[in-house]
Amino acid sequence: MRSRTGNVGLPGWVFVPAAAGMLFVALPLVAMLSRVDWADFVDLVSSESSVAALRLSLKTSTISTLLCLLFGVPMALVLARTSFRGQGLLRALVLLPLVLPPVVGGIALLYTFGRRGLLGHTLEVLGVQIAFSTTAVVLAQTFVALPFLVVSLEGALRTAGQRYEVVAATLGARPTTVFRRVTLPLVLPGLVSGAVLSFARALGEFGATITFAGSLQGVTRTLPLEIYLQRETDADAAVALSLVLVLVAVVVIAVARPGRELR
Amino acid sequence: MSLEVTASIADRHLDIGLEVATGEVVALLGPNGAGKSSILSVVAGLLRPDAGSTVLNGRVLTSGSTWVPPHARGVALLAQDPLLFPHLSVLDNVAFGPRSSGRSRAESRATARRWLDEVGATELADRKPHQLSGGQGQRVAIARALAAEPELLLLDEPMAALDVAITPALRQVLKRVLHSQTAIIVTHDLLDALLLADRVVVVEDGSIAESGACADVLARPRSGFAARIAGLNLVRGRWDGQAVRSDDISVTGMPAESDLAPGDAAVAVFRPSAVAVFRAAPGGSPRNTVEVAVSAIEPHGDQIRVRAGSLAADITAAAAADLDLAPGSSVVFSVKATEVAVYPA
Repeated sequence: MRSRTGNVGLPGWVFVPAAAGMLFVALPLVAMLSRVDWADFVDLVSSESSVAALRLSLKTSTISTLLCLLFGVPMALVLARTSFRGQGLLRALVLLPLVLPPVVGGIALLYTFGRRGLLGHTLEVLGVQIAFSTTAVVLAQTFVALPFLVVSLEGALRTAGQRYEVVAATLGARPTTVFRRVTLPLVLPGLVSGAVLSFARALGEFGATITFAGSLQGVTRTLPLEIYLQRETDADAAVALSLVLVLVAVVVIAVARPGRELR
Repeated sequence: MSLEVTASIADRHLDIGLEVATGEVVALLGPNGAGKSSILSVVAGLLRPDAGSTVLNGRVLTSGSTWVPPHARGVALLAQDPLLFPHLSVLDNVAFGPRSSGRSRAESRATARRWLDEVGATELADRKPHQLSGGQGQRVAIARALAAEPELLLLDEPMAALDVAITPALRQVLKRVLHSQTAIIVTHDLLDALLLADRVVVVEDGSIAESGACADVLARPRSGFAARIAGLNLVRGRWDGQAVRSDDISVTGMPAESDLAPGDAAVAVFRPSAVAVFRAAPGGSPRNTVEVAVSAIEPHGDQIRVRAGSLAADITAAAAADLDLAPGSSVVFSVKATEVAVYPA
């Protein structure tokens, strides 16, 4: 193995498990591709239920991503730019959905927004019914995707540091101006990759959605749910739809690949 | 008084009181960690002192529960690194201050162009910061700080991160723009204090050790730090095109800037270690020589410092023995013209 200049070189044995690991990631994709029924591919992914699921997935994931931005950006700012007692605890709490099994998240949401949940009665009085609606899908997706945005952005904010913000303030810029004209442009790559990761996570959401929102065609049955259902009746359709999600994932990684610098 | 600040910070062992008059440039000198940068941070509103007050042109910025945030203070800060906003062009960087104070884009850019012109960086207007050299970046940063029209400009070692070859040119820019600006400059470099500041304040161990006109502090240093940095030889006089002439000495040297005209006030600076000592004037070489009477001989590190009035020479112990020096001896101090830096004063 040739090593680049300036590299001290790796022990040779490292390449064996590394290659095995890469194979482990790549092989299932290849296996899936080998099972795609190319002749009927277009028909399979353009059935009424498939299109409805894809449309619902794109719509809810987009709204979830916007909600993540709306709440996640301020959360990341507070975590990265202030210090207060209990901040570590708060950060751990924000990251919880990242490690929590999505089904558990779905149950937690159900007991918060469900009809007999913590806020359910209040919401019912207000005439709002969330559980088993498209709104529930959005909430489930936002719940699991939010940490991705917060983590990416907080990291970007810490890396960017406050030196430019300090300079901007001493030049007479108010905090909002500093945020808009200095902070935001500096962390834009981190913000974009965070938003893309959130979108991807929302798009793939399954556990919390099926627990909290159910699986009603056109209302709460997103693409992952559709794939899971189809697998039992029409395996070819499931594979074809899976490929659609793989393609979306590839696009997402291409957009959000790390190491891109703002120039 | 333009600025009156008192501040104490227990963590940093800082306890100071400082006043700067309108239009005055004060140099804060002192060893690393003495608290110079902390003083700037307090004045800029970036660091809250345990106790103290800051009053700028009659406006209370810090006192008891009063706390004016940095953006509302009218205090601009220029640091070691230019810290130009990487996503904005040079022009928009300089226009940032005026823009933030609510002026239109066109008006802000016009102001920015004027300041870029002032620091000799007009041609850089359309570049991005990453296309600038360190010296160019700092010129632009100076323009940006001044375009914000601060009542007080704070400079935190503005030339410390630059190549020594370009500091003289930048120092000239600063000298020009600080002419009518109230400013505090933190520096390690005696020349900055000498050429840019009206007054020197020496900070040691978190308190002010001494304060006074630059020449006085150097001539009669009362603090350890001032005494250490006062080691340079300085000859003040007028530039005649070749040499700096004072009443009793003429020193040929290299002007750091070409815009020095004959008749201008100038200062020639050279290190004691560049001075050779002879019993009689050496012939032939392009050296400055001056006949002096030795006033003191003292150890200086592993060398011998020979003092003669306001001048000093560092020579080896062997050379001192050869010369058979004693206070009162008549000797010739000699320094190569290439070792002498000449600055406008």
